[in-house]
Amino acid sequence: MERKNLILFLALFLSSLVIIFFGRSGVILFLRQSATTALKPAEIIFSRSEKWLTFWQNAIFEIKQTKKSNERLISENLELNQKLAQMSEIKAENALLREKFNLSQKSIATVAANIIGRDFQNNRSFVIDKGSGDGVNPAMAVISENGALVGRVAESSANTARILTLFDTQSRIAAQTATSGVSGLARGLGSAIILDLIDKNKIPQIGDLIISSGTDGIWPKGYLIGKIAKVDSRDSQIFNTAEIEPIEKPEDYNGVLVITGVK
Amino acid sequence: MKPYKKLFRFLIAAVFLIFLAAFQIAFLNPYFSGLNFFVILAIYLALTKNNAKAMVFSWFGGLLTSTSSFAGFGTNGLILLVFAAILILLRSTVFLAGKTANILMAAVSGIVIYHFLNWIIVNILAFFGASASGNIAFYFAGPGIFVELIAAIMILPLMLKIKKLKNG
Repeated sequence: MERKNLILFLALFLSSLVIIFFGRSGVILFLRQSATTALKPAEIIFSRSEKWLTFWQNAIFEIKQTKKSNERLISENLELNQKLAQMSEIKAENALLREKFNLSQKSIATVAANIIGRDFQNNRSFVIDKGSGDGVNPAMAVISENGALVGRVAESSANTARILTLFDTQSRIAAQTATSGVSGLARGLGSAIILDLIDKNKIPQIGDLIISSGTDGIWPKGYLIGKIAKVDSRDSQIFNTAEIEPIEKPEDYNGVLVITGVK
Repeated sequence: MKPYKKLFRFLIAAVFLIFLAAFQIAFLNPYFSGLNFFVILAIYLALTKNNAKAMVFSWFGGLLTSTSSFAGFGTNGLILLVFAAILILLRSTVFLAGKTANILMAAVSGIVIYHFLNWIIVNILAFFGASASGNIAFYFAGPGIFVELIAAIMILPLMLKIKKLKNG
């Protein structure tokens, strides 16, 4: 390699190391914010094009499957309407009891955001079009439009934010099964999520729904993570583990809700 | 070249890379299973002996695409820079530019080297607490690498042919 190219390589290499290891300094944060601001308009245009293309591609190639799904959904809808009628009665009873015992009901404040960019592997990280200027700050939990837990805000600039999903290896959530109360730690492995640290005496059932338990004080309580796909219980292990199948795939999200507070 | 012309070319290149990075993050990543166009661009620039451009475009493009990466800001830039440097070193010894068979070999080996480098550098940075880790299957087991191989094999010879026709 020529001398001037070697100098160029070393300069860029050292710049990269400074950016990576001093990422919290004001200059680097300003640089990152400038990059996200410059990228945002084009990301919005390209992401809308991608969604339009995906929509028509799915419409054309999945007509038969869509028809079957439609028939199944009509049947499920009838069943759910019946359950809704029962739930309305329970809700009314709940409201009366709250009034009687003077209990307040918490509700969450959210900011709706669109996904405008994704990581190469498509499921560990994505970028949304809302940032600190819209009330989105680091460490806030993110849920899907259907209420399933998606991840947390890792970084936010003035008008965009990067979300780390549950698949990321840094994600750790205190979780439990919705019905039997078997608790564990849901953690990301990069391309999968597992429920770890399950008591040896307790074995969750395949199909059990997994929700956040809120006992870690970090993630909100009661949000759906996924369902048990496979259980691993061996005598050689101290704890049982289970594979979690997410309720929704990250590549299927178009929009998310960032939980900004509790009312 | 006059200074204002140099500045103008620099600005055009920066805008081009910003658009390419936005296209990568918002279109190629979700629609083409993570096909990394900057890898193909780095291979093309290295094969056509544009060494400085290969390093600068790779570094800057990687810096921009790392705004959406789980590995953190700046990581993709470092990976693509080292990748471009390796390609430049290999070009003079292994890839004799111009012959179709060697272009295809450059494309395939380039993609494999990039994914391997990605795995190594991300985990080294994770060891120092500057990134999240990933196991080797994460970089080689998905559909993305196959899409990249096919795209590189198809796009690279085309790009080199266009350059040849342009130069007469």
